[in-house]
This record gives sequence, structure tokens and C-alpha cells, in this order.
Amino acid sequence: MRPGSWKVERQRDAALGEEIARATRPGFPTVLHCRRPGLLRKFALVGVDYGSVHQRFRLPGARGWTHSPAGVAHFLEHQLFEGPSANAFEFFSELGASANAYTDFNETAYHVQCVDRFGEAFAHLLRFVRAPHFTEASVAKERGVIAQEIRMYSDDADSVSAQNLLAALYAKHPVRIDIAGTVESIRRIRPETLYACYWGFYHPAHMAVVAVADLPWTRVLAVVEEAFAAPARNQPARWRRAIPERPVEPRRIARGSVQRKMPIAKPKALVGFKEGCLGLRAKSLVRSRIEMAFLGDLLFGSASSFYQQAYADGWIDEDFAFSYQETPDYGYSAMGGRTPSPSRLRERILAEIDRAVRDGIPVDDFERVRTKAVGEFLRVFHSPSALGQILASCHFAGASLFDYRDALWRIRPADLARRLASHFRPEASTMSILLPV
Amino acid sequence: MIWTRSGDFLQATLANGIRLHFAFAARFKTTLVAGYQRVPLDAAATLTALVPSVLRRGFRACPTELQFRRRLERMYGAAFDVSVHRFGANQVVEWQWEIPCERFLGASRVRRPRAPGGLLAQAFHLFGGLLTDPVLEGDGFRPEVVAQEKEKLATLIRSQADNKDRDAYEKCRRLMARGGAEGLSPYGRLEDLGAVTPESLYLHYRRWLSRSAFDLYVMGPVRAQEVLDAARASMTFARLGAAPEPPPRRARPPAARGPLRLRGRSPTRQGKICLGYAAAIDPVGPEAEALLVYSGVLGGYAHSKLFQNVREKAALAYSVGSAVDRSTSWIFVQAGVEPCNRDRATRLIRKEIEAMRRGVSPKEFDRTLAAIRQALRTLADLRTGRIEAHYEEQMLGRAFSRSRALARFARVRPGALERVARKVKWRAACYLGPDRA
Repeated sequence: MRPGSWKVERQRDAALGEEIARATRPGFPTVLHCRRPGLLRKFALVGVDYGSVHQRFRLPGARGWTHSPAGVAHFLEHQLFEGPSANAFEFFSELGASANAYTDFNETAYHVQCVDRFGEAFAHLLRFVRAPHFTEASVAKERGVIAQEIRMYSDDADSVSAQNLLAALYAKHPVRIDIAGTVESIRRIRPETLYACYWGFYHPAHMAVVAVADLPWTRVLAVVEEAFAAPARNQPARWRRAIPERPVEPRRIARGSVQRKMPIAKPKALVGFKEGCLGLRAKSLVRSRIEMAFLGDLLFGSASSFYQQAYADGWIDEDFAFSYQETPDYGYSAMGGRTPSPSRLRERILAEIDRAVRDGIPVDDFERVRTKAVGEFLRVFHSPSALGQILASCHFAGASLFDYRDALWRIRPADLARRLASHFRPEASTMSILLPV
Repeated sequence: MIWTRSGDFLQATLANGIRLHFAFAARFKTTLVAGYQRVPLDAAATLTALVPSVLRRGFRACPTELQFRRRLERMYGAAFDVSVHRFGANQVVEWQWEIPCERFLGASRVRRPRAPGGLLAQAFHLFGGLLTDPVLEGDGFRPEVVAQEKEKLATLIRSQADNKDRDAYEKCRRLMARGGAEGLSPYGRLEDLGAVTPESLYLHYRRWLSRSAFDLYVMGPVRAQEVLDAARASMTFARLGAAPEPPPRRARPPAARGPLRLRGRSPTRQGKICLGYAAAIDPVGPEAEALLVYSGVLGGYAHSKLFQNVREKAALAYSVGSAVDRSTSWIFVQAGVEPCNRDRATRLIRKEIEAMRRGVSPKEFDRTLAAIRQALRTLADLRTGRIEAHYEEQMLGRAFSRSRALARFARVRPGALERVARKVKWRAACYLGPDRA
């Protein structure tokens, strides 16, 4: 390895005693490393900037858009484990390593965790992700497995509730479609579909490799360099990443509410608000996400007057939660859980927002929530797998983990007051309702 | 009072019989405090399940839950949770606290609370107060709180069936228990709630606090003396009788009759299979580890028989696997399948279990042992895992240490799995699905 080929930056938090190194090099993925001395467990992840929302894209040199069936990114994640001669799990099993993968709306990630023989497991992880091999037989077989996965989630009330909310919020954006697609859409997936998406998106420049391991930085880089120095299996001669379409989504919500019956004991309601101001990236995006996390905690967290009163009155129970998601293309908040009356719960949520807009954000409450966030940040470093996934997610957002820490201190009550008024607009609100059969 | 060694923990017994377990964990930035209160699972289970949620709602230092939650947020987001579990024929209330360690908070720009003592001492003070000094009204708890928590527990009990995998498992488990306590729900019974009054619940709470076997685990970057001082200051409340000894271990032989079956109709997309097997094996006897390896080979990992044959080759399921309930040496096999494949999947699962009687391949055996070894070594970095392993072993009558556990697994030979397989008897089957029974 030629050390001078990598450009390395280090960020350190002296109080935490943690350092994160970041290395970049043309033609290679970005590499992130957090050493965590003394930890026996070692974790590695390779992430791709490609998720279920990247359905329409333009291939380099092509004129028109390619429209892939819903669920391709997830199907590709399953199929990549099938190698030409053996399933990738075979070698992980031999090592006793625990490997898995996940696909979400914006990213796909493959990861491995073990104590011993980590170097071999890490190298194998990068190797199989660079060796696509898709056949009619393996695709047909996996279709049956994924169909059962789709069925499994379609019986899960929380998954259905969340997906229905997205369908009510979004008219055009692919986030409204289930990550795994549907049993019907995956029938249209063929090996050539998978190859087109693989070569379109699994370009090293749009990948990140993360290692949370008590190993020298040079060893981590050596494994990455060996895996990516040679071309990928059957790599095209001129390989450029596909350009995903930026969907044009109306500002208004798609539907006033979505309702469905399921075999559950009590109704479930999820109230959502569609974010109107998008296009943020990097540190601005991180700051926006934290603003909403703070607001969610202040208004609807377990230490809020709303939560405690609604709990005592019987409108919610410990199932109630708030969440916020934002990317440059879409953003939404969601709050809810089990409730005897979805419409009444929505009324109370809107009333609480009105009250907060009227009364403002007390400084003491703001400082309390910030104090909590500062303490919670300590826990990020405890689990190598959780830390690895967070590092990858921050990277694809264009920021670093310490940008998040810094943003905690920069936010002011006035920021939350502004956001309270701009995000929680009644006309931007919709609802997903599940009723017992 | 002196510390003695109990497996991977130091142990001391407080004057009131509470067993304190401590392990120094330098790599973490928070201190984990886990309290376990165990009683036999019996007709009083509903009362026991209610007590923790009522206690959480207010005590002298924090008369309302709102005050309690806000106090925790000011303690840098100290986390608190309480849950109820079952282990064999035992009902266990688990308290979990996670307290930030001040030295990692750096030169905090946030105002520090003025309460005396460090955050750990404050958390212990709150814990002791929550347990021993509840807000009362007359001779019992506050009537409105008891009424609210009865309603919440009723919802929780009814909602257990919302998750169909869990519902199938619980129904199968009740069949396995043949009326024994192992089949009871740790949340009690709906029909018991009507008779609960604020006074009867308070009387039960007093008995439960005095008589429950109480173990308190602390792991973090703190000194043993600091933990001892905090526990002595806050947890040496009066308790009446000696803690009951753990129930005797027993390996009940399976009934001579054939398996009990239950087929239920549920308007879901997927059918849920749960098969229950009993093995007359002492959970801490000489064949205990062989039973765990057996289950691992059968359906514990990606290389296992069920994963490879039911999912990968036959594509009948996305989720399929087996797991051992250590308290009873019962094995549960679960799968989610297309309803039309119910019988085919069940036949295939039973065929794989039958095949285990003829032995396992060296590859299956070696890979399972490698995975178990890695998981045990990984425990060094997992506080919750270490605590749970130690507590579970203690309930079974011995002290857990990783090194001894690794040595026991290293002594398992392939032939032992064949002997275990001959002891594994099919005892129950449950199927829930949309198709007619």
C-alpha cells in the first residue's frame, strides 16, 4: 500500500476519548474507522448509496429513464450473497462470524461481526459485494423467500401503519412504496434487472466502508485496498454511476387519511406531517433532524405534559412514540400508537401543537431536552454494530458523527419556535388508522 | 460486608438479603444497573405485573411520573425502564437504569443539577424511593392510578396476540405446559383485573417487595466501593423474610401420549407454525451444552438445517428457526409460510428433526460450535448479555463465567448430539393462519 495515496482526516473528542478517521482516494470507497481500544468484538460494514427510492434512474450514455420494479434494491441485497460457487454465508459460517444485510429507503448495507479471524471475514465481506452473480434459477428461488418476507411484514401492524402513512403523505415519491416491493412487483425482477441496478449504483465512489475494530488504521486500509484495487467481477470498461431521478413531489399531502382493518386488539393511529422545506444536505440536514428530534421530545416525549396527560386520560399508552425522517428529497414526522379513538388522538395532537405555537418554547424545557441529548450521545459508542451503522448513515447524509455532537450545542429555542410553525401545518397533516377486525 | 467471586461478577449481600453483583467495565461511558425481582409464577401473577407500573407513577421524591421523567432528563438523559418476564415457572420484574458517567461529559456547557452526590448515587436514591416510598391514598395506592394501570395492563394482555409469531408461540407453550405454571403469561390474566383494588394491590406490593428474590447488577466504569456505598444508602430497606431459594431444577420426561395440536384461524397473509419439543435434559447437567449445540445445528444459524433446507432450498419461508427455552429444556421451532405450504413445511421440518437422530455432519457441528464460541467471547463487550447470562444461570443454580462456559462447550462431541436427538420428543403443535382449520 502507498500511504500517500489516501487522504486521511481525523476527528477527535477528547472528553469522550474517541477518534474517528476518514480516508478517501479516487476510485475507492470512503473508509471510516473507529478503533475502540480493548473491545473484543469487531464490526465491518460496506454501505451503498442506493435504496428502495432509487427506482427511476438514467444509465450513463442512455437517453431515457430506466424504471425498475419496486423492491429491486432489496432483492439485489438478497441476491448478492449468492456467489458463482457458494453462498457467501458459507465462509462466514466457517469463521463463526455473524453476517447480515439491510436495505432501507436510501441505502443498502452488508455487515459482519466477530471476535476472531476478523481480517478474513472483513476481506470476504468486500469480496462478495464486488462479485455479482445472478441467474434465472437463483432469482426464481429467492422470489419465493422474499414473497414470504413481504407477507410477514404485511401482518405486522407497526410496519403496515408506517407504510400506510407514507402512502397518505406522498403522491409521487417512491418512499410511499414498501422497501421490499410487492409480491406482484418482484415477479418482474430478472437477472438483467439486477445487473443493471448493480452496475448503476454499486460504484466505489458511492460506497462507504466502515470498521469499528481494535485494529491499526493501516490494516483496515490494506484490506480495502486489496479488495478494490482490482476491477469488480465483469466490471464494465467505462463504469460511471447511474443518476437517480429527483422526483417532483407536490407540497400538499396525497390523502387525508388511510384506514385498514387488521387482527389487532386495539386501534392504532399514526399522525404524520409532511415537511415542506427540503433540499438540505450535510451539516444543515443534521441540524434540521436534531431540531425536529428536540421538538418531538419537548411536545410528545414521555417527559412532556401532553404525554403524561394523554396517558392518564387513556388516549395513549407506552406504545406511543414520535419519529422524524428527512433527506434532501422528503421529510416527515410521525407520532402515534395504540389508542381507543384515532380521531380524538389527532385532535389532541393538533391542540398541543397550537398551544406550543401560542406559548412558545420555555428555555428551561429546551435546556432539559438538550441535556438529555448530550447524555444520550455517550451511548452511541457502546455497540460496534450500532456505531458502524450510524457512521455509514452520517456519511451518506454528507456529515460526520461529530457534526451531530456539535449541532446539539448550536441549536437555540428560537430555531425550534420557527420550526414548530413551519413544519406542523394542519394542511400538511394526514393519518394512518388501523382498526380491529 | 465483603465481596466474593460469583462467576464473572463480584457479589455481596446487603443486610436485607438483596444480592449485589458488580463488574467493572472500563469501555463503557455509562453505568448499567439492572434489578431483578423474582417470584413463582402463580395465581398472583396479575397483581405482580401491575405493581411496577403503579410504582413508576409516583413516589415521595417525584410524586408524579412527569416529575420523575423530567428529573431523569436533567440527569443527562439517565434511562429508566421496567418490564415483566417469565423464566420457566418464575415471574421476573426487571428494572433497568443507564446512568451517564460524568467524566465523559467534558466541560459541559449545560447547567449541572445541584442535587448531592454523583449521578449514580442520585439514580440509586431514586430507585430506592420508587421501590419503597410510593404515593398513597388512605390504605392503598391512588385509585385513579390503579384504575389507569389496570386498563393499560388489560390492553397489553390483549395485544399480545397482535404479533402472530408470538401468539403461536404462547399457544404452543401452553400446550407444552399441560396446565403447569410454565404456560402462564407473565402479565397475568384479564379475568383477575376486576377484583384488584388499590388496597389489595398495596398489600400484595408489600409482600412482594419483602419476599421476592432480589438481585441487583451494576456494570460500568465505576469503582466497587462507590456502588456499595450507593446501594447501602438507598437499597437497604426493611424486608421481612429470607429470599426464596431458586426452584429445583427438573427435567420432566415428555408425556407418553402424542403431541397436542391447536389450529387457529387468523385473518393474516401468512401462516404461522410453532412446533414444541421436549427433551428430558437437566439445563445445567452434563448434556445441557449438547442440547444448545443441537438446536444451533437444527435451526439457530444461517448454516443450520432449517435455514438451508426450508428457506434456501425449498424457499418455503423467510423466517424459520429453532430456539431452546433453557429453563425447561424445551425446543420451539417456528416458521412463517404461505398457508397452502403449511403441511409441506411441517413435513420438511419434522424430516430435518428426524435426520438429527442419525447424526450431524462435521461441517454442521464445527460451524455451530464456532458460532457459539464467538457469541460467548462477544459477551465480554455486551453488558446486558453478560448480566442476563449470569442471572439466568443463577436461577438455574450456578454461577456463570465465560471461561467455564467455553470449556463446557469445548467438551461437546458430535456423538452427544445423537444422544440428545433421541431424547427430543414432539409434544405440541400450533398453527395460526387464514385458512380453515
